[in-house]
Amino acid sequence: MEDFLVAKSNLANQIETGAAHAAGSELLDLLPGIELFPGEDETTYEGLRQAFMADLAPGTPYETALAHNLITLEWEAIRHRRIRDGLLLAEYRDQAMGVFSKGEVGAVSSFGRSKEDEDAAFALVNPDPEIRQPAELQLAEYQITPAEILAKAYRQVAKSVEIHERILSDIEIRRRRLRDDFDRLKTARNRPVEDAEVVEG
Amino acid sequence: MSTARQIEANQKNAAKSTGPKTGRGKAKSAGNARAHGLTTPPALEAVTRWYRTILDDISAVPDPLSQNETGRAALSLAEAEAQLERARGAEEQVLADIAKALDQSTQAPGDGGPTLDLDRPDEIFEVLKDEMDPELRMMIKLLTRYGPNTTKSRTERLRLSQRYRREAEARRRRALHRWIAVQPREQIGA
Repeated sequence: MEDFLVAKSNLANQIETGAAHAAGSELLDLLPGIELFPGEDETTYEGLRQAFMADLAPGTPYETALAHNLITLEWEAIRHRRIRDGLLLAEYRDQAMGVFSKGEVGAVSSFGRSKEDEDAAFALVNPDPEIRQPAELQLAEYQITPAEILAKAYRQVAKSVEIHERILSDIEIRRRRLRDDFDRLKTARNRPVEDAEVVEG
Repeated sequence: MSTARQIEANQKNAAKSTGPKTGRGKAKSAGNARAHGLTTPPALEAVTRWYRTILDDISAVPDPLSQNETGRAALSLAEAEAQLERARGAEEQVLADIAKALDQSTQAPGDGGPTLDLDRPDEIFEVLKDEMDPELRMMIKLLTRYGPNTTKSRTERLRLSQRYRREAEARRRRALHRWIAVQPREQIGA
């Protein structure tokens, strides 16, 4: 984990509503933050956190912890989508490697391929069209379409991808439930006390 | 509804499978969930931290013997939160492993020629397949199939950690509802 970018978000900084006080801040300081994985953008996370905090406006340390739970769920959805897409992309590239080294769709071990084959396969999944185009032309020479490679890649990683798909749909339900509970907790706190009398100080 | 014959058959079958019988079997079975520790009670320190956060009181000390409804509901919620925190941490660790493996596989190729990726036992097999005796080959084959660094085993770990997290979330939800339920009553009585 040492090589991971550790971006501990300090929950004490998350009380921005003015409702919490110094003791609350101290309490929140003790709660765990989230660790960003390599490739995850801290600015994006920070933007998401601020938007959620502004919307949820937690008023107590525990409400802030629950609000943070909601942010974590949202971030996890982004994370699972990224891993799912990454798994498919990596497999697509590995399957494409076979086309460039053997002329057929299929993964090749790193000892059975040349540097040129690797470069071509990496270029094929490059987001820049200028870098991608020569690799696509090379692919066309083998009369193999990207759809063929994608189909094989999907078949290979279907099981690994499936769990992320399932977690994604599950997160949606959990997020809705937690939001519902968060709102109920806030309502309970704000509920007027029946028969209350204002005592003049 | 089950018939008398079905009930009798069920009882007979149940008598045949009442878990491990030998001391060794019982000891092994008792340690089934110990590998990850996610089912053991959470640490007191974590529970106290959550208890204080829930009550918004930095010096509050949980009292398991308390008769106070609010205190009991807060403690139950604190335990559920501590358990969930641990389950979430375990899941994040598995996800971090998956992300790390994925990150390594998406690195652009270097100029140093082929390198042996020890996280991919299939490559070890590929390289050593002509050099090995059949027994060693079988062992490597098993490693490639069931080793801890295969995508399959990481996926399985993720599935398991998700299960524990869902259970912890369900427990937290029940405790939170109880906590919400005691709020107004305490206020009115105060």
